[in-house]
Order: sequence, then structure tokens, then C-alpha cells
Amino acid sequence: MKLLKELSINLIIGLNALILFLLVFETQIEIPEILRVAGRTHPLLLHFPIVVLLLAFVLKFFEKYFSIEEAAFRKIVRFLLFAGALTSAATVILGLFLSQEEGYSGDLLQWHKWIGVAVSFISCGLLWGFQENISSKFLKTGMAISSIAVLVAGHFGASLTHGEDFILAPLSSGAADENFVDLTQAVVYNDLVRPVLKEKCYSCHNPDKAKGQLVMTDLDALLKGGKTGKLFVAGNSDESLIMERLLLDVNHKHRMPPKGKAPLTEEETALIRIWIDQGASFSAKLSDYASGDEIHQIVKSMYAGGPAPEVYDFEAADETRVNNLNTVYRLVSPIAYESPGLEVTFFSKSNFDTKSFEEIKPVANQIVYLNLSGMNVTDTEMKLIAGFPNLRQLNVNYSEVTDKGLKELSTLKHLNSIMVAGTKVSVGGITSLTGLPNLKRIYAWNTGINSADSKSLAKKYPGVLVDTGALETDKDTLTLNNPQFLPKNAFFRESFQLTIKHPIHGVDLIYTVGGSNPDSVQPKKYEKPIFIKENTIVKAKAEKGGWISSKVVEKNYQRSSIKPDVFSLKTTPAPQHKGRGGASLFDLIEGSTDILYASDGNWLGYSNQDFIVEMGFKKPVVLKEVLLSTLTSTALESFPPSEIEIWVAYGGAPLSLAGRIKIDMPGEKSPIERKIIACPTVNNQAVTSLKIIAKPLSKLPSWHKNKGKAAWFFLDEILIN
Amino acid sequence: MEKNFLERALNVNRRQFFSRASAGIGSLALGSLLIPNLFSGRSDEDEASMVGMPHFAPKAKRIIYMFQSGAPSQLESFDYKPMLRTMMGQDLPESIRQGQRLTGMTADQAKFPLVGSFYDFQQYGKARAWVSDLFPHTAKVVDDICIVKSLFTEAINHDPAITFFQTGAQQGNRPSMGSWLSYGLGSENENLPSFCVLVSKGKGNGQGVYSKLWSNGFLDSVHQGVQFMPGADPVLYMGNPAGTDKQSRRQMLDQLETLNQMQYDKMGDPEIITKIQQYEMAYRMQTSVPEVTDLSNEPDHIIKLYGPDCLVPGTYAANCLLARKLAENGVRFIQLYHQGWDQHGNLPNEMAGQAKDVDQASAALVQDLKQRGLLEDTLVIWGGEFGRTNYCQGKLEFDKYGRDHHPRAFSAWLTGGGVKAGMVYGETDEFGYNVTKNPVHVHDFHATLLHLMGLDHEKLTYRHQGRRYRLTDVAGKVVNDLLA
Repeated sequence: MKLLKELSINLIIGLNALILFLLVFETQIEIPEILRVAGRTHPLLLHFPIVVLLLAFVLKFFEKYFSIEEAAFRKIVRFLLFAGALTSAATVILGLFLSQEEGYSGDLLQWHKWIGVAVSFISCGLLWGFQENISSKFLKTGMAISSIAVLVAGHFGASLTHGEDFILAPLSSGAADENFVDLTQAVVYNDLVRPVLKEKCYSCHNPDKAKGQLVMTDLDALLKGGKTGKLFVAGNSDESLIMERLLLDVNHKHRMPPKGKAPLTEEETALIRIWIDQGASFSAKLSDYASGDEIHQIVKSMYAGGPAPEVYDFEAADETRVNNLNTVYRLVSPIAYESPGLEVTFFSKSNFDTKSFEEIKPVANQIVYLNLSGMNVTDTEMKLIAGFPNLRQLNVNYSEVTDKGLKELSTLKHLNSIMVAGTKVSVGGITSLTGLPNLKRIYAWNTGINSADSKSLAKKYPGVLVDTGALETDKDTLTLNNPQFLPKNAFFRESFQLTIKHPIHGVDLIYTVGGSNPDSVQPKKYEKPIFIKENTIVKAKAEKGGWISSKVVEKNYQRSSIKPDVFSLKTTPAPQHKGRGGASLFDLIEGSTDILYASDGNWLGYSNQDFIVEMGFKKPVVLKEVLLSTLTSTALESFPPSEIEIWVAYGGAPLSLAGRIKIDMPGEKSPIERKIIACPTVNNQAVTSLKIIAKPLSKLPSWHKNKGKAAWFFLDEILIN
Repeated sequence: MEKNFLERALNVNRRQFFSRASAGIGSLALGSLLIPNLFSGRSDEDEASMVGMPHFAPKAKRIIYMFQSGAPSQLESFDYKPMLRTMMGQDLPESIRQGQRLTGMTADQAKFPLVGSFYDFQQYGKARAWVSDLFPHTAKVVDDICIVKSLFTEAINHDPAITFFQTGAQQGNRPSMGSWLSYGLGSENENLPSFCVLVSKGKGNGQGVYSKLWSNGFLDSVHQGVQFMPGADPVLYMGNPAGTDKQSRRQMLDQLETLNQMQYDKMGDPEIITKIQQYEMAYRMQTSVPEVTDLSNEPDHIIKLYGPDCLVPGTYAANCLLARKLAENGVRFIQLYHQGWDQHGNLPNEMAGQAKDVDQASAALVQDLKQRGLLEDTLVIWGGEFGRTNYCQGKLEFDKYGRDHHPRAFSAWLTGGGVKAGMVYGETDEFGYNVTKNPVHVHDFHATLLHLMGLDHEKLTYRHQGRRYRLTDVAGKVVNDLLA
């Protein structure tokens, strides 16, 4: 034990001598690699002298309390003082080694170094004094001094590692100066880039701790760069060292900030990139950048979107009371989570009255948005609204509000928009509103105010927008849409009532029956359904003052009085035009002539194959006429059949050919239309079965662009009378 | 005796335990001060308490989404690319295509001949926005709208793409955007569904629009979209059955509620309460729906504004007018679909018809909302599920070309409720193929819409099958540049 004690004393003396040596020759020393590793254990070892010296002080101070036998107590304190002197000397030496590494300089380091050295010497002195039995008073004072010194040295050391304002940073970073940058005035470097550098870079690149010989805290040093070279090339972020370091993989040894330190966010990195690309100016303002520039987007997402929402200075209303005000016809709800402001909307005119409105008076102070659109709001309610001091937006569109009612609102100091569209208010009422200090927008479309009034108001009150809307469209003349015929079918059995309709109210429907143009003959105004019992062409158009009359629509109504009791298709139509099979031919529904709808399900299409249908009648019928309703469209390659045959039979007799005709083909310019083609006549013969064979045109005519190809034959109905 | 002894020993131990533990519990309590939500519930429960109202003050209270189903070509509408005309017929360079996967419809094409717009473009408004001659009415309101030219998506076929736009996922089974808003914000008007759907059909090549697009997914069924049909019975099964009058209906509902309530008391299934509410709402809708769908009182100049078709039920124009009425009546989300924009061939012809269907009424809706002050808090969106290729599908004829699906860049416009008006946002390369500036992903688009509605897209969540779901999945950034 004695040996150990001797050894320790010698070690302490030796270490302190080494300290003196190192201090004297500090500038000439070069540290070998192995000792540099030792130097880096300084931050580990330093905790021992701090704890041991403080412990010795505390024990000595509470000496009486422990009531330990004096000799034993002395032993403990002596042991601690030994340990303190030894570890503090060792810590100082390792610290001196570490300080030789690049990046450590400045006042902070000097203070840390000299106070650390002082700790080592004082603890030696204390050990000596203790051995020499100096008075307890001196000893206690000395221990107090060493304790304070060790704490101060520790603090400076921590500041070196973590940055100077490390401890108080959580308090100051929330303060107003950083989070509330006035973006309209912001200087890009000073207000946007520098805060990023300060937060993420300064702690290692400052005059006291210039890692890589780089100091970023002042402009000259920033421009000078560090050991590896200049930090950035103005105008070229791709060539800039800082960007390279920021963008390295997180495990790369040159990556900045190094692994374990808070990295820059995507926005922060982008901000620095843009700042460099735009010339790395120290004076450019954010407002110098074009409004569509990427930087605005980045800055906005860093500093929360848009202007801060309005903060209301009034108390929230009682939550239960607010909830109880809600009915199915009245919404009373906070405008947002934890906001004291309320929005109130009324629905259903028939459920609105003054009493239901008065019920919201208890929350009058909190109402920010009030929507009474379409409600029976009279001047009585407007008087009540005047008592809603915090109202921002009032919607009384399509209500009974008058100028007198608007005058009541002079108390609404916060009102910034009001909607009075579709009411009886006039210039007088609107003028009375212009005095409101915060009013910005008045929507007064469809009122007594015209656009001329609105222009003169705009001149008089430049801060207020008076929107009188789009009544100008009255000047445009638009074409009325076409009248509609009901029922829609072009075919009928015996007779029917034709109704002509138009969606727009108050139009005159002019029509003719028999094919003459409604423009040319004495107009016949449609008043009641038209009774139709034979083939009829109906033409109609719609007229109304202020509109261009609609196009003339016409429809050819065709009678088909006989429907076969049985029918069957002997050939199947093309799969893409198969309609509903044979049923399509006797359903009275016509196919559309719009080429986009050629496959609307009403047309049967044949090509390269004859159309053959057989029909049977339970009672013999006398055939006056048999007609095919077909489609002519050169674009769809649809032509009438080239030839039609009709076969008939009576009773059980076999079918016999009753007639055959060839059909003329339409010319090149023929329109797209539904064409009725008569089959050969059957001479008023009574029949019980009927067969029709129609042969599609085998080759498109020579003028057609696909000449030579087989034509289509489309039909949608067979009409038998 | 032994038992007493044991009990006593245990008692002593218990007493000791509690006296010793008091300090431990005290320090636990101290530590717990550092965990903000420890005793106020789990953080998703905290978020749950925010359900039903905006997270922060909203800019928009409702959305009208005019979805152009089938994907209108950006190159014939808002993305002016004169170079495609000069390079007509030349092959799309691989340096531009960059390995973009193609649909089965053009993947086998030997060449990808570039084709310029058949229609001319002019510049309009303060932003000098390029708009094609197909959209003369939209051109008149460019100062009120914000055209985004840099949208991009992940899907290349209609169904996944439209599902992605509507639900934030391509696979389906997730709640639709309207359902999320209904869930997040609650209903404004208890007499109408908070999510209404209106479908119309153009003559162009169409793609299916199915009810799965307005499904509530895993959310409560009260958030499901309700389709309004044209004609006498706008909402299916809402009217009284033949022979039932209003009074007997009321009695029936009261009896039914008693039964349902009994069942709820027994089972505690919240869907039963939903059911009661739905019956009640349907009852009120018997009055409110005819009121809102009655367009007979619209003055002539409004009809002219939307075009005379607006009184023909089932047309796009009629749906736009109805959308305004629904917005006036406090419906949160009004979803329009107009089918027929899938121009794989015959594009110039078909697109002219489609544009004619929608142009006037879309612009009219903007103008009509504006003059009523409703544009202040109504967000209006116009756009499809992706864009169309800059090269021709099929045979190249200058007036008859077609375009295939293109996910990498397409245009849409939005307006109202907190959107910066009179702006063109984002840019594409001169081929109109890739976004070169300010790309906006579908998730970003959703995040921005939710932000405008006062919702934080990362906090609007719903726990389902063991994890929380969002409309924006695990991505999406608010595009702050679009905010006024």
C-alpha cells in the first residue's frame, strides 16, 4: 500500500511536470498518432476529476454528519484527493494532446485550457495541504475553489464541443426572431440561409473550433473557405464543395454534418443550392426572385404556408352551449379545432324565423362567419346582426335585406366581406357599408346596382371591391336548344299523342304537320298534344325573346300497324351490330343516325351476307306495304341493299317469290340519314307467312375511298301495313 | 391462525409497498410530464377528437370537382407546345421518353410520331396563359383560375388512375376524397348528403365511372357519396313507396327507430346508429332534394351563362348548375364526372365535341360562384386522371390523329377557396412530355386540397386493420405556391 502511495505521488508530480513542459513548448509539439488516440479519450476521462473532486468536497463539508472514526474518514478523503489530483493531471495532458488537433483555437479554448491546468495544480496543492495537516478552514476553501474551477472548465469544454449557446438554445430558438421571418422583407442570406448554417454548421465551424480550418460565422471567413478549399462557387452549386459534402452518403467520412449530428432537411439543402446558383449574394432579397421561382415554394414550406391565420382575441363560448344550438336546420360550429370563432349557417327557409335566429344570441360575441343565404332575413334580423361584434363574413344572398337593414351594420368593425346578391339593396345601402374599416368585398350581383354604379363606387372607395357579376351575358344572344318530341320513337302502330317539350320556360314552340317549314307558313303554336294516326312529318322550332330561335327539328312518323306474331332471323347479323336480334326490327325504336352511335343497339348490320327474315301471322293479313328502315352513311360504308326479294305464303303452302326489286344507290354527297325503302308490292294479297331477303351491296362504288370492299347494310325496323 | 398470520404479513407488505412506492410513483408522475399525450390518450385518439372539424382555419368550406373522365389532352387545352407542330411526324427521342412504360395500345408501335395540336392557342389574362381555341369560355375566366401544367401520376390506365385521383391509392377499396372530407369535416347541412355525385356523358370515347369511386371504403357508411340522377327521382329509393303517405312514413320510421335503438342497446354496433340517422336524413331529403334540384326558378341570364343545355337534365351544364345549388346548400363535396375524353383516335373531332359540352358551363360555374361571393370559400377543380401522349397513336393524319395515355405531365385548373387566381403553375419541356419545373404529384395535389379545407393531411387518419390510413398514404406535400 505504501508503495502504491509513493508511486501515486511520483506519478502526480511527474504528470504535472509534463503539463508545464507541454504548456511551454506547445507550439513546437507534434503529437504521434497513438497519442492522438489517447487525446481523444479526453472527453471520457474528464468526468473522473469532476466527480472525484466534487465528492471530496462534499464529504469534507458534511464531515460531522458522517460520524465516522476520524482516521478512517481521513483515509477516505485522502484517497479521493489522490484520485482527484491524478485524474485531473491526466485529463489535462490528454486535453493538451487533443487541442493540438486541427480545429481548436480561440478564446474559449484558452479559458478552458488554463482553468483546467489550474484545477490540476490546485488539486495537487490540496493533496499536499492535507498531508501537511493545514487547518480545516483552508482545506475547505481550497476544495470549494477547485470544485468551482472544475465546473467552469467543464462548461467551457462543453461549449467547445456543442457550440456556445448549447445550453440555452432550447429557450432562445423558440423566440420570435427566428420563427417569424417577414418574408416580404427577408434578405435571402441573412434571414434564410444563415439561420440554417447557424443551427447546423456553426457549432463546429466557428473561430473557437474551426474544424477543417473552416469558419462560417463571419462573411470573410466563409468566403475564404477551409483546408480543402473554397466552400462554394457562386452561381454553380454543382461545383461547390459545400453541396458535395451535404449530399454525400450519411456514412461517408466527409459527409456534413457528420453522422450523429442533425442533418439538413431537404428544403434547407435546396435553399442553399438555390442561393449558390443565384450567385450567392449576401444582399439579394427574397422578393427579388420571380414569383414562380422554386425558392418561394421552399421558403414557404420552411416557414409555414402563407400569412398566419387570424388570431381572435375573444374567449371561446361554452362548448355544451354551442353544441346545443345545433339543429338539423342550424349549424353552429367552431371554425377550426380549438378556435374560439364560430360559423353559423341556417338552412331551409321554411324553418327559419326570427325566434330561431334569436336563439344564437348567447354566442353573438363568437360568431365570425354567418350564412343566411336564401333565408327570410329582414331588417329585424339585421338589427340583431349589428350586435355580433366579431363578424368577418356575412352572407345574406337572396334574402329580404334592404338598404335600411344594411345601415344597421355600421357597428361591425371587423366585417371584411358581405354577400347581398339577389336582394333589393341599392347604391344607397352599399354606400353606407363603405365606411366599415375592414370591409374589402361586397358581392352585389343581381341587385339594384349595375356595373356603372360599381365602377363609380370602385373609384370612390378604392379599397373595396364591389362585384356586380356577369349580367352582361344578357347582351350575348344564344341559340335556344332544340325542342324535344315525346314519345321518342319514330314508329307507331295505330295512333298516338305527340308532345313537344322544351327545357326552357316561356319559349314558344312553333310547328307544322305535313312537311312545310315552320318559318314559311303561318306559325302554329304548340299548346296541346298532337294526335297522329298516319305517316306524318312534324317540324318544330323554339322561339323566345332575347334568344336566337332554335334549329328546326323534324321527325318523320311512320306507321307500322301490323306486327308479326312470330319471326325469326335466318341469317345472323355481324357480332358488333347485332342489336337485340330480330326483336329490334319490330320494337318501334329507331336507330340513331349519329355515326358515333352506329352500334347503339338498334341497328342490325350485314355485310357479305344476305339479310333473311321470316315472319308468321296467326290471322291472315292483307299486305298494303312492307317497308325497311335503313341507314345511309358513306362514312360508315352503309348503303341500301342492292336487291330485295319478298316471298309470301298462305296457310301451310310453301313460300313463293312475290316480287324482287333493285334499289338505286345514293351518290357520293348523300347525307347520313335513315331511309325508308319500300319492298316490292304484294298486290293486296292475304298471307300468313312472309319472308324478306335483302342483299347488301357487294362492292362499294368506285367513288368511295374503300372502293371494292363489301358495303354494310343496316336496318332498324320493318314496317308492315 | 396461520391464515391470519399470513394475511397480516401480506398486509404489512402491502402497506410497506405503498409507502415505499409513493416516491416511485411520484417520480413516475414527474417523468410523465415529459410525455405530452400520456394521460390524455394515445396520439391517434387525440387526432380522433379533431375529427368533424378543420384542424386549422380553412380557406375553403366545400369542393366542386369537375372530373373530366377519360383524360382530356393537355396538348389541345392548356399546355401549348408549338414545337410539336414543327416536328410533326418525327419520332419521339428516347432522351425525352426515358423508358416511360406505355400502355398495351401503343407499346407495339414501331414509331412514335410527334403530333402538334390541331387547334390554335392564344394568350389570355394577366398571366398571359395559353388556352386553346377549344375553350373560349374558360379563356375568359383565366384571371380567376390557376392552371397547373405540371401534374403527374403513377398509373397509365384509366381505372387505376381515376381510382388514384379519387382515393389516393390505385387498387381501390379506400375511401374516396369526398368521403375523407365528410369524415374529417362533418356535414354542413344535415338535410343533404355531405358528398354528392353527378355523372354526365359526352359523345367522345368514354370510360367507366363506377360507384366504387365514391365509396366510403373503410369509413363509416354515412360518408358514402350519393349519386343524383337526372329526372323525376334524383335520388334512388328516396320517395315514398306507392300507397304510403308522409304521415305513415313518419310512423313507420318512428317504429323502426325504436326497434333499431333496442338492437343498438343490445349490440352496441355504431352502424345501427348510422342507419337510424340515414333513415332520418332520407326522410328530410324528401323535402330538401326536390328543393335543391328544382332549376325552374333560375333567371334567363343564368341559363344563358351556363348555356341552354343546363335545363336538360343529365347534361354536364345541368350538373354544373346543380353543383352550384348544392354548394349554396352546404354540401361539402360535389363530384361531377363527364365521360368521353379518351381520344385514342379522331382526337380533333371528338375533343371539339367534348370541349363544347363542358367549356361554357365550367366557366359559368366559376363566374356564377364568384358573383355570389361563394368563390371565397368554394374550391373548384377541373381536370382528368392523366394526360395524353405527344405522339400519335395509330395512323397520323393532321386532323384525325389520336393520343395514348400519358402519366408524366398533364394539366388541370383550380380556383376559389384560397387558391392563387390568375396564375399558371409548373412547366413542361418543349415536347410537353416531362415536367421541368414545380412538379405536382397526385399526393401533393390531395395534400394541398386538404390544406385548403383546413385539414393537415398527415393528421386526417383512420385506424383500420391495425394501421392508420391517410388520403395521401405516406407521401404528399402541400404545394404552398398555389395558396393565395
